[in-house]
Amino acid sequence: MNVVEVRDLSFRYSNSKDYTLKNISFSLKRDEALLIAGPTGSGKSTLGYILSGIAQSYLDGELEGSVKVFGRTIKKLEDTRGLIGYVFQSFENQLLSFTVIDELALAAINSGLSEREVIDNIYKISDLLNMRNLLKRYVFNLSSGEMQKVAIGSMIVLKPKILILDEPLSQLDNTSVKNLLTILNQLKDSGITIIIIEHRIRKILPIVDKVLILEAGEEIFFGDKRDAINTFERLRLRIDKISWHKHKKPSDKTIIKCEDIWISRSGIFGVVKGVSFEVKEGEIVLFYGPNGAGKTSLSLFLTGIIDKVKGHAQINGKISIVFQNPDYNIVYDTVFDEVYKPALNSGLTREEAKIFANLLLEKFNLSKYRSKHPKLLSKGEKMRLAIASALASKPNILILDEPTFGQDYQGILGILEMLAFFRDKWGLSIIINTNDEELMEAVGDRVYVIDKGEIIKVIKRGRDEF
Amino acid sequence: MSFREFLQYYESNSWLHRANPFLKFIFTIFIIFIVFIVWDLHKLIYLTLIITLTLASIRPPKVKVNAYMKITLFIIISTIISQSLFYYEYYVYGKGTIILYLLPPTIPIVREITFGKGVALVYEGFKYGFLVSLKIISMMLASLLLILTTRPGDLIKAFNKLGVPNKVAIAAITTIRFLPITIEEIYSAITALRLKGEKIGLRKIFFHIKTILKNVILNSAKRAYILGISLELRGFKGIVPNIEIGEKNEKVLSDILLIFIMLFIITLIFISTF
Repeated sequence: MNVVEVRDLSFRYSNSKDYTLKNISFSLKRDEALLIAGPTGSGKSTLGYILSGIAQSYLDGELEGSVKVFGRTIKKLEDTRGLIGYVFQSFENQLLSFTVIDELALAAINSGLSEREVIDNIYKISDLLNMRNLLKRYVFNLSSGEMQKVAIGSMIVLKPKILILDEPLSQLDNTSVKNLLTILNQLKDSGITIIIIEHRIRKILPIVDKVLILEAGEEIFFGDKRDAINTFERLRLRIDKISWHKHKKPSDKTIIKCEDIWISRSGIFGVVKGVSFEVKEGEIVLFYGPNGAGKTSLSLFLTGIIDKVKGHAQINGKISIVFQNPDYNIVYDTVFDEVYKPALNSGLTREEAKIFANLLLEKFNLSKYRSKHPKLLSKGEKMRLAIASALASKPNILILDEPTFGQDYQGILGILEMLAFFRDKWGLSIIINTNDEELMEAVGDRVYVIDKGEIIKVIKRGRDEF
Repeated sequence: MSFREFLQYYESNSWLHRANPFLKFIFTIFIIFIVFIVWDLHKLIYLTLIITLTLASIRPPKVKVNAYMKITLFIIISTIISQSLFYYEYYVYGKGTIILYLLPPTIPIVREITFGKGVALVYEGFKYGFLVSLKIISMMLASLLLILTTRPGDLIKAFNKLGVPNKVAIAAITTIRFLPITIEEIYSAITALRLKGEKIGLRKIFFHIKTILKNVILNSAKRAYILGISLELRGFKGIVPNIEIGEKNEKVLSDILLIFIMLFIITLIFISTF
């Protein structure tokens, strides 16, 4: 029996002339796991919203064709209630309760189960997800991986038949990715059909059975995962390791020198413990480590946003930072202002700032959006804009915090090409924080491996090529 | 310490955690009422001491205590300075004992602006500032006693008992839950503006308020949208869970102790009044 059956599905947003999805048809059997892949903007998330009934109830658009789940035509969100669970990419926003146990109990208690039944359900789910130790914890004190577990748990507590996850790996470090994959396998074994929308295909492929590949809203492949490899390669999706080795010998001029830096944050002493490092002019330096290792704290210290407890830091230049979530970098009303105002504030005249802003927008392929509100851009475009905006203030050092977050392979390569361009042109020093093993393997003249606030290893790479 | 941690409930088995949430709510309202009616410095000192001791008895995490001490100190110093410098009775009626002149009325412009009074540190203002700061601190600590020791679900029940409709109670709890995140987002927007080279001092920040608020509202709307869909997917009908696992604690003694503290405060106020 087909669990999901989609026939000739097309969808067009009301504010767009073009169809976001065109003639999509596929079906899925019970216990199968499906990967929905495709470049940024190919319509993957919209398809997820349609399958779950969210689009039918909340998105303003025109839907053609049919979507059936367990033989039931999905016309609104209520039609999928109890059948489908949905874990959003920004899963932290879907949690209402203060404590983990209350979050897990929310669906069950509202369905009319007794407190005893609710507690039994919670214990079963927490054992399945290996999170009994989290039950009494406060939701917003959890790490990303733990919070995602809670989001999954809160959705499967009423035993839905299908679970949809939108880019579940995007915020996770290696350990959390492995844990999540184990959980998804267990859910699959327990009879839940899994649908995953994801860019990090290499990581997710082992647990899926079927693959649906979209390009510009069109279905270009649907079938067994073993037959999908050629299409992945043709679209340059993230099936292989990142291939980018544009190392260049940096100058001998030291631009940052930090010795024995200690940082306390959120009342915790030693988020960063006695870290020493240096960055040369024109060097690309990576801080690689799991979530919570102290990478972001170190960057916030370098940028002057938080202070150190002790240690000595010598910073010879202006620093700019691009946050993991580019939404936090974006503040103005238009794409143009986002680049023009920092340029103006850096001391350029109005005319010079205008020319410089236009150049940057052109370089980052954003000129066509200059009058658009930045919050309306896609994830990839927002990241490019955040980088352009950071560069507009003409820094000597640019820090990027988890720049691969939500980016497809082409997007990552595009960002790296831009960074290499400004490194070569300006002698820009670049610091990248990442938990992405593949990025670490490909990028960085020097890699500081950081864990629990300490640098545990330094990799000097590409020196033979200089 | 982030704003999230500062105001959040923490798990413990203290006597106040075990007390009846409705009684704790009444206790907080009672303290706020007493603070409003009492204008005697000694009584306020006793009241603040009692509330501080009550807070200390539940042994909050050290990190929270440090933050509260800093805030308390800030409130005392800033209120005393502002009141002793700008004591209204001195400027309006000319009453007060001058400790020292910061800007004497002999300076021509100062004389005109201050109607011949100059800018002075006034002893009565100093005393009044201390009194006002005690009032603020007492109210803050009493509210903290409730927030730190009461699970949000229990708070909703306490609101319900007072006749507050469930929808309003949920809205209030959601506000408490998301307020710290919103405050952090305001900081993020300010940081982003600073990184773009905008000057954001105390005076200049007013020029950027529109930009900051717009960002915070857009982010909040996005969060509310996802939260709403997620709740609808889970069939939310307005029931906020309040699940307790582990051993159930005896609450009677805690309630008696809380009532005793309230009676003690009433007696203290009563005895010193008559």
